[in-house]
Amino acid sequence: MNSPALQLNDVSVSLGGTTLVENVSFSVQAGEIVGIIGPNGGGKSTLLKAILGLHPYTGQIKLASPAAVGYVPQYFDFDRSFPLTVRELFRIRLGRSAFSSRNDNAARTLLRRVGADDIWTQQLGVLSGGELQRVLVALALARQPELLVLDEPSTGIDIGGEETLYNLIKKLADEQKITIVFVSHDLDVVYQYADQAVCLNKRMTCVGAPHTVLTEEVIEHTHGKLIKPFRHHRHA
Amino acid sequence: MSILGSDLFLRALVVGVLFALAAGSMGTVVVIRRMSFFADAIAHASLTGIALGLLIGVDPLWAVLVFSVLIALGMGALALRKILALDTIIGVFYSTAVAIGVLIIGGLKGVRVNLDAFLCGDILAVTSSDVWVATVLVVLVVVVFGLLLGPLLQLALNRDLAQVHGVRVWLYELIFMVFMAIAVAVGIKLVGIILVGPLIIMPAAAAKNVSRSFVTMLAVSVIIAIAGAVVGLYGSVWLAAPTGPTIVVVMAVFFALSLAIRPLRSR
Repeated sequence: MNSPALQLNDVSVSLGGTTLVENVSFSVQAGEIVGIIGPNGGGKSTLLKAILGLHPYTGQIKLASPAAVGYVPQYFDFDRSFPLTVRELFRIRLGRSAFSSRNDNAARTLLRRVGADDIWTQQLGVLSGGELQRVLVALALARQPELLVLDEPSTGIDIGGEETLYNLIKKLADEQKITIVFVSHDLDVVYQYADQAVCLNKRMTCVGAPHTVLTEEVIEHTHGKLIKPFRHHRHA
Repeated sequence: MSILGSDLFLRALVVGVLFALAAGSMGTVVVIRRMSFFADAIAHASLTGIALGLLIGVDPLWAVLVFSVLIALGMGALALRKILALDTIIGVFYSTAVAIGVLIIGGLKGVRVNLDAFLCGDILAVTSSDVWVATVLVVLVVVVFGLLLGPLLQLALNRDLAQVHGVRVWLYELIFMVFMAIAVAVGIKLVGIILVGPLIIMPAAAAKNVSRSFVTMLAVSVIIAIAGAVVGLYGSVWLAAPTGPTIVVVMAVFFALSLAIRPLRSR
């Protein structure tokens, strides 16, 4: 077996004297999709930020290509009246200047890959949740990532938009062997799209194929007794 | 000869346009990053810079420059440690610096201080050496700001994402704060401590109302800042009114116009 694209050994994260993530270990092969699932405050986003190098941690996080990591944050909390256009966002990201059109073709190719080429001249503030997430995925793809990290990617998106987004993520993993790690509190999404589930409620309570490890007992332990595992059929 | 044709007025005009260039461009990022209070705090804190300059016999422009940069770095360094919220840090620094400034000025023996000029600006206070210093500082600030605009905008949009994309957050935060301190120091002689902060944000706020892209916002902001400074300077001479308040009133008119135009531009 090849060396893993991402490997965590005994990772703990403490912030301001409080331990938020404790002794997490798992490994991910290239092109695999990992869904980290757990309740709010269970340390999911904290763990992602440790993987991204945004939070200090103890233990070991090994990335096959540390420079090739793309990130789609949970809250892209910006002033929606700020008149930055999608075109300008890509210009400052790819060319470091809001004025340079040198990388416009590359940017439009990225937007086509996520099915969002038609919003090139739109302001970020008027995009729907789904459009904004696709723009952020395209922006992350600009780094030619081998690992793409997404924090609750379907926050603020309707069901149709969510399905489009996860299908896109699956396509990136299947066709381009991009390793995906996403955080979600939606069991159904993890069942449907992840190759591997990691249950996290400060400590890791499960790791493995979703259909095998997401048992009623594990979910009760992770989420509490009120939530039961369920699957519903999505409309194509 | 009227004052309008004098070297005195010309010097004020040059410094006004230079300040407008710095304020109009940097104001865009200040407004987007919601740092208006920060700009105002640096401006008010510079009263201590002026007081220290008078106390040790250094030109207030230099004293304000050094003190404002130190205050900006102090607030920036504390903010980066994330012990307290930025508005709390600003509140503490700002009130302390104003209090110390007032105490020092009150205690100065044998120095007559025209506090009005410092508070509301005075074009008579602009010397030819101020013009040269302002030129060098503003050219430096505008050029470097232009070069750093991409990372600064990434930072304004999302701090974590900018960091993952290789933007050294702390470095850009500090550089930006220092630049704001420089802009404040340049503007103070002309418009005074009370109004230099608002003048950094008003052109950008008006431009934001009427722009559909960042590049347009930047251009409109600089144009409004320069127009406001020029019209305000002429207006203050004609009306024999203090410079700072006159420029602010002109900017306020521009802002009101931008609000009136905004509904027409919105989709």
